[in-house]
Amino acid sequence: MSTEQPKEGPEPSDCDDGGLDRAEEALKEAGAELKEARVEFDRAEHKLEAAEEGLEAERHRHHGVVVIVDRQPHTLAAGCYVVAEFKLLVGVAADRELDLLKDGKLEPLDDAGHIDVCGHEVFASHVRTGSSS
Amino acid sequence: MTVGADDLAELRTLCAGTAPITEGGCGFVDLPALKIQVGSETVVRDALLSLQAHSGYTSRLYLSSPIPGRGINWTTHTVFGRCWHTPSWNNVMSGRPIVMLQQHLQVYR
Repeated sequence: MSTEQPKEGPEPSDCDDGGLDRAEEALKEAGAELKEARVEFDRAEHKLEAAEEGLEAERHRHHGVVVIVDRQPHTLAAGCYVVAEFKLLVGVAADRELDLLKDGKLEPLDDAGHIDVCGHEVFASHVRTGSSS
Repeated sequence: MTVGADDLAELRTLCAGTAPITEGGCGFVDLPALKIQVGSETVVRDALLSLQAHSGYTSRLYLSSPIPGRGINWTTHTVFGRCWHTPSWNNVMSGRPIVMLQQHLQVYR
């Protein structure tokens, strides 16, 4: 009568080698997936930031900004205006000349020219008088 | 004519050293190193704006030196012991000083 006990399952060494390989493989795959996920996450984050910046710019463009004309504040949408139209919007008579106070000087604006309004600009209008003698 | 605090604040956005001064009962605004647009260029002159009639004109803008190629019949005047230059440019009426200045500067544009 044999006293040897029957072995249960595969040899421990076989079991450890196969399981370890598979675990290492799974770990590698998980690592690669994590790396890809991180790249994807960064990409999505950049897209979100760009979208937020775009949204802010649009909000700024469509919401009113304040300019000062002849000491009076006026609220209007930021953007590019034909000077004659801008004068109409801020209540400056068509026959008055409009100057922009910029960089410490009075910059005359041609009625047919354009002006970029971003907010905080200061303007002063005046009648066209004065003559040489 | 006197210059109000708002008038001075407005002029100081153009010329930091703006100061009201009087001589012989006449009110002036001293505008040191005033930037003047001449065509597409900017020139700098000390300037003195008379706020009422002066030397036979409704108002005057005196400059520290003439601007070549602009204005006609330049003359010299002594005000506050200093020699000033001004072209013939009349019919600028008394009012808000910055508006008077704008009207005077038209001759150089």
